Amino acid sequence: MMNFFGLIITIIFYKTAEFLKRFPILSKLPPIVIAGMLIIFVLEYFHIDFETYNRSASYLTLLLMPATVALGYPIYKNIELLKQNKRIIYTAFVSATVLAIVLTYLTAKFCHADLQIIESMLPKSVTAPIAVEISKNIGGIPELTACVVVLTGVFGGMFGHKILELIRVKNDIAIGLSIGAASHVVGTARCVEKGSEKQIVMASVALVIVGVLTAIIAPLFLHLIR
Amino acid sequence: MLKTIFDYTRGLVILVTFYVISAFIIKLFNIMLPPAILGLALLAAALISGIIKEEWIEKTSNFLIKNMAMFLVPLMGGLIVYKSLLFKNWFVILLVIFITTTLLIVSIGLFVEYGLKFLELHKMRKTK
Repeated sequence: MMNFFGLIITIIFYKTAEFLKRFPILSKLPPIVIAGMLIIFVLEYFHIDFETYNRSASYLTLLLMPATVALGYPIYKNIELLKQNKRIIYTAFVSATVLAIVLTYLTAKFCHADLQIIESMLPKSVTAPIAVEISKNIGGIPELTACVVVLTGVFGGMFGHKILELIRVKNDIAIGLSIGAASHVVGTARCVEKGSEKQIVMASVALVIVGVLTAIIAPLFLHLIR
Repeated sequence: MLKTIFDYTRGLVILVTFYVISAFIIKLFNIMLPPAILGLALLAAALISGIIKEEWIEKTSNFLIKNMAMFLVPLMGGLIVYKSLLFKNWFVILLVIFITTTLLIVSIGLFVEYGLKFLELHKMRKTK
């Protein structure tokens, strides 16, 4: 029983957090944030080693690999959408990827962040499983990347639609694409609550494509500036 | 019941196989790409070309994608190891997230909105 302690409390905390989302006060916080905080609290309060916890909890992390591969499925399902307005959409995917990497690097550099922090933050606009893989690849800290990615998603999800409303962007393709590209799954989840079918599909396709592009461009970018 | 278990297992075996093949290819050719990303692309290609049938992986994929956030929770717990790093840098991290995400949403949103409008105008002129 003790062997599966980490795995069990993770699932219980996550499902509880998912249930708590029904209450209006907590509905803005994604379950992963609540569950993560609960885990940190329990480990800290009962003085449990992270190693002990992660021995069984890491089985869940292992599932991220097939889950990332599974993202190929929504691409296949929405392939038709990728054939329309090709030029603009593909230019937007590539420029979103490059912009995200360059902007993150420059702002972090400007704030005098350590190199390891910058490397961990570079893939921050990308969906977490992909970002974690990229982070490992370029020398970042996967745990920090996961945290930054989730925070980026929460920010984009909370303010994305408001920002776009403010600058009068009304096209569903534009809204879905920019929110999906900048704040991945969490932003996409907000599109599910607020937006039309077109927004959701565009956001989910954008988050996968930008993820793949970032995996290719981020190591090249780091190679170039070194 | 047995059918459901079979469906999920088959999907998982296929997805893991794609991962393993991708990892092998990446090792072989020394490519700088995470195996899961190549696996994603290969899976999409296999689905489009019809080598893999949609229903073989549909259930497992939907389940994994729906619960993706849960698989990340242990990583969030892992932040405990990097406590001091996080305390030292929290302001920079939040600032970078705030600035870059806002700029990104604004620029891409405007680009696509006006790009599509421009294309439509262009098309209308052509048909006239």
